[in-house]
Amino acid sequence: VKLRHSVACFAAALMLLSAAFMSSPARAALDTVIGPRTVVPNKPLSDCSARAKSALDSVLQNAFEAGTGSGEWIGAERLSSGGDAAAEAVIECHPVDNGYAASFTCAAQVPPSPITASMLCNKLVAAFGAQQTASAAGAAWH
Amino acid sequence: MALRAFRGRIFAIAVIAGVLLSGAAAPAAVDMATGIRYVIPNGTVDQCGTKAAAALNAYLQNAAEAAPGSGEWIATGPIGAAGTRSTTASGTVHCYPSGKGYVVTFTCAVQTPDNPYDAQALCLDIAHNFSGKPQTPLPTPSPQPTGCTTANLVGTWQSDNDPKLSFKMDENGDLTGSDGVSGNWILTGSDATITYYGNHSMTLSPDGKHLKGGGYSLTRKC
Repeated sequence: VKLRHSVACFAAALMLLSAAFMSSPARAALDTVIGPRTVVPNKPLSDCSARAKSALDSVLQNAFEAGTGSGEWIGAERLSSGGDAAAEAVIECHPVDNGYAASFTCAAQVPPSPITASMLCNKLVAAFGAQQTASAAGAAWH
Repeated sequence: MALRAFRGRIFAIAVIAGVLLSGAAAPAAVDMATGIRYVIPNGTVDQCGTKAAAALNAYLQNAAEAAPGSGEWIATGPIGAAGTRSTTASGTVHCYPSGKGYVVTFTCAVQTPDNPYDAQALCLDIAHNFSGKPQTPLPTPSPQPTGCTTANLVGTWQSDNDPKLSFKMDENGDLTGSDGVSGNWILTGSDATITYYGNHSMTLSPDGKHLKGGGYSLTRKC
């Protein structure tokens, strides 16, 4: 009887503790950042679009071009199939000299998104392959 | 040994049960829009930046260049929002040099249902402000009814059974007990769920003054 009592108390305490920890406010806030711009020389705009779609598909889901040929790609992260988006990002491709510039804009609703907009943009920049090909990142135009 | 294994199972079950009981839903979502682009044949990126900041500040606040000289401008909102927790909308304007002029693009994000407009509507107005075109006024949120309304649970609630226990519930869906523990409330019709040491299903009375169920009986001060 004593053992049952102690186990019951133990379980109740644990339930109370975990419920208390999880009952903090779930007030969501919109977090938005502009990530580091990536400039890639001597590559066509189609290369940027291919990388943008691939990066968005790998980090988020269902990447598509906002308008055919616009070079503006958007992807979203849905926490459940068909559910609302918890995070979204846009990669814009723009011609610069003989190459292109790619810019990253990320938005996340925290919570429920497990990552911030900044973390999301960093993941996208990495997935875009910026480290290997970028000649300048975050550079000024003038 | 057997006791230790038994306790381990109890631990796992208890933690999972606690998490499930307290799972507060955050039904909001991110809506993002892009695709509006202007090609300006004559002008500088600096001129673009000046117009970008003005257009963003017309609908949002604190427009700033992401990095000096980048031509990438960002602002958050809505106007009057204080602190990051109140941010429910944002806009970015990107200025790129192109020939003797520049290209400007607009991207917006809106948290729904906290805003009565979507990201596309916000971006369209920012872009039209930039270009000097007529803008459609964005709808403003309806003010929350106050008092013993049946539309929400906003207000101070006193326990009928424990004079030391009361709750303050705000328009953001947040709840704070008199013991300092915070949680959430959700109201659908007359069915309410409060999250306070787990979820409790309750019913709001037709006069909006009483909340009962889930082991609690509360009366609103109004």
